[in-house]
Amino acid sequence: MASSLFEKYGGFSEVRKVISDFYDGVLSDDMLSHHFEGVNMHRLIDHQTRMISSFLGGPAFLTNEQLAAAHRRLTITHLEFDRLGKIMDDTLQSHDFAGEDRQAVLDQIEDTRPFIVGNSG
Amino acid sequence: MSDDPLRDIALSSLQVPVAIADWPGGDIRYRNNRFATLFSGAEGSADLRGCIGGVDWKAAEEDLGRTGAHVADVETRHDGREHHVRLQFRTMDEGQRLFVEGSDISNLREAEYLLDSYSRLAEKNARDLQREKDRTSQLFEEFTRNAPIGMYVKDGSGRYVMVNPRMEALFEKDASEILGKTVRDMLPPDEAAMVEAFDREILATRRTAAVVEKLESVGLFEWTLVVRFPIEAQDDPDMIGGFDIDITPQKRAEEELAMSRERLNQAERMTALGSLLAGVSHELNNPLAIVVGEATLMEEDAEGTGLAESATRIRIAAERCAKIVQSFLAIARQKPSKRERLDLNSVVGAVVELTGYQTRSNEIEIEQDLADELPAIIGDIDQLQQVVMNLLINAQQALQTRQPPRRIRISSFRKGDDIALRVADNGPGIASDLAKRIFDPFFTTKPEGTGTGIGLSYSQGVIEAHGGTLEVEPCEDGASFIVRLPVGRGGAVLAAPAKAAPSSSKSTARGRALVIDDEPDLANAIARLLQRLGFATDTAGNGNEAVAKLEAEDYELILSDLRMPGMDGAAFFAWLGEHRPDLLARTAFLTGDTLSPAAVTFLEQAGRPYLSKPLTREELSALVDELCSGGDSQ
Repeated sequence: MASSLFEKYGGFSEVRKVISDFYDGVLSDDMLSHHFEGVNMHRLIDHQTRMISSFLGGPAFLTNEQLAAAHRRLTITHLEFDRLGKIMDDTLQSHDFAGEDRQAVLDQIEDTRPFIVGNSG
Repeated sequence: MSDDPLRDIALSSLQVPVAIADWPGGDIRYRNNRFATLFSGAEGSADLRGCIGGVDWKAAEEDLGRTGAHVADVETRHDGREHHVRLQFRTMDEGQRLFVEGSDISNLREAEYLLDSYSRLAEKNARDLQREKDRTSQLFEEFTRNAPIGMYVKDGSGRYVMVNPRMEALFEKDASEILGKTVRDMLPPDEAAMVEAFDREILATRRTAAVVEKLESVGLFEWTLVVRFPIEAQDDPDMIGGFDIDITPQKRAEEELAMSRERLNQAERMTALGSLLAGVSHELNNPLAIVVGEATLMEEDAEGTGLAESATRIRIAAERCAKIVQSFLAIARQKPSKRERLDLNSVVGAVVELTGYQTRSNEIEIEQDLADELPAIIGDIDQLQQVVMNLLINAQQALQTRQPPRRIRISSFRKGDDIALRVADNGPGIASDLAKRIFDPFFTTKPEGTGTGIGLSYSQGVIEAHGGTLEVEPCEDGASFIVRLPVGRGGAVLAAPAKAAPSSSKSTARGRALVIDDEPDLANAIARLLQRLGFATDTAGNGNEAVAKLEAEDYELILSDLRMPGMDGAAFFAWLGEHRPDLLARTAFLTGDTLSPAAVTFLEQAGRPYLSKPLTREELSALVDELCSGGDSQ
């Protein structure tokens, strides 16, 4: 069950480590890094930690509508979104997330695709 | 224009703001249209520092001096909205010039702004949710703390994980002594097994179930309605929740209601039985009165002959019949037919002697433990003997199913204001479910043909008619009945009518008597008995005939039946009150059934003496003496 995944993987503090590593991967990726130039990464890691925590069954964070509003001018492509998912998968693996738990997170990330990719308002 | 026209042309086509200035002087040498548009202050100014606000120039100079590059995010207004621009400064021409290039980061800032806003909103929502949870949790705690019922949760292994204060009171233990323990730690093994069996049923069926329990070891509730239900918690799918609700008041009310119904049923049965007996006795009393009357007359007429002895035997037999009828009437009208001062021990002694042969032949040992100097009681000796006899016979019959030693213990003793008599045997006893029914009329546990089911009902009727009680006592071995009778007080004793001397007034002229009865033979028999007592007599079939007689004759004595066609006894008495009040004191009543409430009320209000039919010569004589001497017995 999702809420038990949040507990299982150590709550916010551990998820934050995962997300921090995830953005290390994103910022060193040629396809994605330009989206984050000048971005306050500290705050972004905070937000993303809470987003992924909610995917794991932690406290609720953003609604799909809020996600769409925040990303509407960022012109993120499907390729970039796929790439982002791959980096997340690798990061979760490196943090010893079990296969099915990893898939549970990726499935939920995939569910947000329509609200993030090619969103022009 | 700058000093390089070709570069100026190339830069002017860019959609991003671009400028070239002297450095560190700051004079702008070139700016494209986008730069001029976004940083309008530069239009008329040649100073880079003057037209770009929001840059920390000191830090910029340091960076540029050290690395030749600097980045600064600035905000500027254009077309009525904010523009977020990232400016990159690079030195060129060996540090003599500064190249400035901007990129629009408004979208990024908007995304960051929105995320921050949503994040704060989510935080607020989370705080509100937590506050709500805390409040709910606190409310639930108060709810369980104040609930007047026991509430608890047990885990899959039956250990209590939550109990409310009512459960603490129920187990008479602190929560810390209950939590983590199972019901086996709380209750005796048999009761714990019962609770566990119920829990297993809940888990097997996965359904809510309720049961009424009476746990002897739990003193707080006598009767408990237990409701349990499965709880599928995330970490333990076999939890059980439960409520223990005290239903003792409801249960007691139910029991009281059941007892009231039972009493009502009993009363209804007795009323029905009483009506039947009243009807039968009324029908029997008149012919019996004739038999007694005629036999009495025959006894006197044939005095000294064998016929007189036959007449005596007929009279005694008829009087016995009359007593039987009276005994049955006693059940129905709840009133002893005769009252006298009695010694209860003597009653017992007489019955034990009467049944002696039967008890000895059945190898039954009778133990008597009769208290000395018991106060007298007031009652009907025949009825009380019958009661003691019934109890002894029941005990004997019960003991026949048992191997010796067979024992009946009869004890009398003082119990508060009452005299008590206990008849206990060491027989098989009375099953608890039957104990309430054994006093019902026609209920019997004896083999077909042995019992009628009337003995205990009759006995209870007799004892209650004497103002006492007859009950079964709880008894470990055998059966035990206890009779309680009130102690006789003062001079309330109505002694049996004094035996009149047969010849006392046989030939004395005592005036004229009027006998009113719708049964001509009975009226005649009584009239003839009165004649033997010295009266001239007339008879009348009802009140109307009596009124006619009164117009022609005066009477010293009027004996009237109550129930008659036409003007009945009560109506006749009312007529007397109105027209001949002088005769009221000379009037007495004869009745076959004083059972009907109307008759009882009338006799109480009239305050006149009365005799129940069939009446003996002695009773009639005593009544006549009383009336003629001006007495007013009631």
